[in-house]
Amino acid sequence: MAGKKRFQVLEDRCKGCGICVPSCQFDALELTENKIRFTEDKCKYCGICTYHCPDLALWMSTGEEKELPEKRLPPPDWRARTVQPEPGIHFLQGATACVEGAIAAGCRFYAGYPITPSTEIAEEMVVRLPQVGGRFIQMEDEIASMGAIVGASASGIKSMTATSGPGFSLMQENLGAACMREIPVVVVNVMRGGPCTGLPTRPSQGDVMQARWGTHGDHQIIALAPWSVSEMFWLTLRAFNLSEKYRIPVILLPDEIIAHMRERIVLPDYRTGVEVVDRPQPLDPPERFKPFDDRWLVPPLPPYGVGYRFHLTGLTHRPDGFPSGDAHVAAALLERHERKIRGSLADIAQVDEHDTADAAIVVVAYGSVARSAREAVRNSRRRGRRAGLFRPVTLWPFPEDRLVALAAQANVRFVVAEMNRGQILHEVERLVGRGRVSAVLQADGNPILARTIERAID
Amino acid sequence: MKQQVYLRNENFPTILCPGCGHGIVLAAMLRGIAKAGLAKNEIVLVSGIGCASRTTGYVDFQTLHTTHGRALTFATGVAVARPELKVIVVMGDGDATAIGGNHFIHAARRNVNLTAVVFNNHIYGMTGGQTSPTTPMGSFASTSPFGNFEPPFDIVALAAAAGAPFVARGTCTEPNKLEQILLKAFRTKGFSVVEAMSTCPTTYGPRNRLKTIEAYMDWLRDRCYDLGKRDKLSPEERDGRWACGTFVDEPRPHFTERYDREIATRAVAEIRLPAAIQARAHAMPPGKHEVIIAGKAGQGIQKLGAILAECVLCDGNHAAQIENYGPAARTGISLTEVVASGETIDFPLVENGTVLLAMTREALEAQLPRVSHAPQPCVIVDSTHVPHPPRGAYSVPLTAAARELDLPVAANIVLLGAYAAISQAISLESASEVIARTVHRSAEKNLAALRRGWALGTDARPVGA
Repeated sequence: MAGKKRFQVLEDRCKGCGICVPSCQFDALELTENKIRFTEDKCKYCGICTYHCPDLALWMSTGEEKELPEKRLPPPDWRARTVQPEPGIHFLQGATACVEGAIAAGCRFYAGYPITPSTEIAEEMVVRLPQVGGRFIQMEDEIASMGAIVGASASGIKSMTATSGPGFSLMQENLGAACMREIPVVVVNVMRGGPCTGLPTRPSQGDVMQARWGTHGDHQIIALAPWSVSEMFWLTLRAFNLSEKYRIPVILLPDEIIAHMRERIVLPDYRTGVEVVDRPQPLDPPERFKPFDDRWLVPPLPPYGVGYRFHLTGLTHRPDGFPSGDAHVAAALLERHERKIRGSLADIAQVDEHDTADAAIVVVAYGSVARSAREAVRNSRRRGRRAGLFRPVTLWPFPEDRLVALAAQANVRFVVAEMNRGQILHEVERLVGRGRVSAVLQADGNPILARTIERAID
Repeated sequence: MKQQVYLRNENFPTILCPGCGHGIVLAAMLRGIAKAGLAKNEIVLVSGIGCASRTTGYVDFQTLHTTHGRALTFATGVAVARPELKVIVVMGDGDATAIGGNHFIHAARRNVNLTAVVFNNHIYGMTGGQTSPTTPMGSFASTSPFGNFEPPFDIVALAAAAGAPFVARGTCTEPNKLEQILLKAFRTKGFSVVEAMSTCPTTYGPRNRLKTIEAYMDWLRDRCYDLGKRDKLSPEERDGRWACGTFVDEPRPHFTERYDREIATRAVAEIRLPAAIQARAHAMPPGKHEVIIAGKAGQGIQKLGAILAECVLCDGNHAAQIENYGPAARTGISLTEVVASGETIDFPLVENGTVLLAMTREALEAQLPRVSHAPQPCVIVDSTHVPHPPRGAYSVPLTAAARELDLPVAANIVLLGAYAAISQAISLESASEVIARTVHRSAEKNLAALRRGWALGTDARPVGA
């Protein structure tokens, strides 16, 4: 049944450009004082003017419009397919363990670009993802890789990339894109010697500060540093869980040694032996949903297609996702970002301590250096030194409380050992005071040996 | 009007300037979407940065406003991860072909399943009117105050050359035809590109003697002609003007279609995942065994390191192995390190070498100093390649033995057997098991090489003993 034909100028939209005026063959439109006047008697309801209006301000109904199809897609389900190596003892490379940790966590999309020494991760992912119903894509560069995983994760699929050195630099802008849109992603940066092309095949820990402050602007980030093949599995899993739980990018920072070495690992059953966190889902119906709803520290994030249509932008935005230049909006957004991470330090910041209870000298080390440090601590103890190891497993946010607690014991000294010219060193100095800290810093492409740390303990 | 149904009405008016052609292109897109019968929930509209990219804020789809030049990368992620969604990308000319040019040609080459709409107004409007890669020669912009002297990109030719299966051009001065072109693009499976000629009456027009919106629209209308008339025009008449119509319409299977059909099925069918190691109890001699294995590329040095370390695990002991690699894959010394112990291993690399397995003279000479501090280093050399072994070393004819077995590449496995017999660090049972698990070709001959090495090692005596 034909309804009534109607035409309307939506005046709050019209900017008075006048483009519509010559498009009307019947002179029904005229521009006076920057406003469009419509003469109903002249209008033949052809609708041509509505095609020409750049402000979408001309509205016409023929009364015969059909309803648009209403369609909801089912949410993606990463649990639908799990294929895994037999649970039990395996001899794996760090890169392979990382891939298995990601698969166990529900990662079903990987985009990457080849770069030493992280390429093995891509070479494993290309085989493993399709086995579990996921997809792999080799992009044209690291900028594209980072963009692709943010897009894929926004659509509802847990996603990851891996890179090293120069590639990590290229990822920084779109890493910020994930921070601002609060999109969970995992970025593995296998640290090699730098700056620039540096020592592509040699280990380093030179990207610790870049992981914290690499992308521009005030932002929150989580970074984890594994020290074994086993932790490459479990910390990749944890990286995904933290990123989903807090809607934040998580960076895994193995050094080259940890990513390339092979050692024993006990793989769990992925269905029963691991705890997996998925991002919070909305309880509100679509019409009340806001992607950055500040009633929550971590607002729910539904997948695309299921009925929630929302806007994600890198511009400073209101809780409903749309841009705003308002100072209060900007302050509230960054303040919530900060609270969701700083307020959950106890959950996020993990430390592994060895022999610190009675320690007079505490070695602070992470990644492969912590293995030398543990050996150094053992040897020193045999020689009667009260040495201990403080290993931050979470590098960012730094586990401040525990280190400050150790420093509360009088006369405890600290030795920071890292494969760079001093990065975590400054964090430790800030927390315990410069006078109590000495450092073993080495950025020559060689691992730090236990005996070097032992000398510093003495 | 169907286009009104897709709007976030509360966000109007748009931030676009009066008379900006982008709004006309947006409206044509919305009519095309309606005619294509697409539901709001299945559309993901992705945009970059710039005036054109702001349009995502006004439409009621899943909208993703990304970073400058990178819209296609985010969109590729969405389209590949969730092929059931219809992905449409909105970009400006600078966005798509300057900062995002690399992504543009690669998305076309890969044939990612999405529609890219390039709003081309020949200038960077949002930043105040700078030259873009499509600014016509001789035109003025704030960074071309004396006229642009760089030749512009032809976006249609660029997309076609990069392999896009659907390429078309329309203009905001012909919104109905533009809508038809967009509809065809939305219906295309694969990477479809529509260049939509648009205007910037704020920064391009005034600098280029197009002072009124009407004059500017007339200029653009005159510059755009129907593709069907191209052959009737002389080269001079075509110069500086844009043919509008469908240039390429040759659908072919897109990225995700081919991935699912050709890659995923093979990854499932052909790749077996490893079984777990069933560890036995073999007591290895006490202490930390720091093993250096060195030779030349092609001798299976890395493989031997991995097999040796896995043997240690099979025996219920601990091992770490690392490949030592440089930029060259097939030149120089090949080196791997294995640290083995009955106890947990902290530092995973060789610090004080105790064992050197050398398969060439060069490798021996380079690595011998690393084990010289050990009280009783175990040095095994291949007598086939090392004519004068050092005192105290075991000289074993590894390559000669492998040749006798008609499998010269198994010299590394002969070495494994010899080391097992000499050091007792690994059991013959575990070595056999690991070879059966990890060596897929000529497994029988490799097992024979292992036994031969074991026999040679059992009989071997240190040089000078």
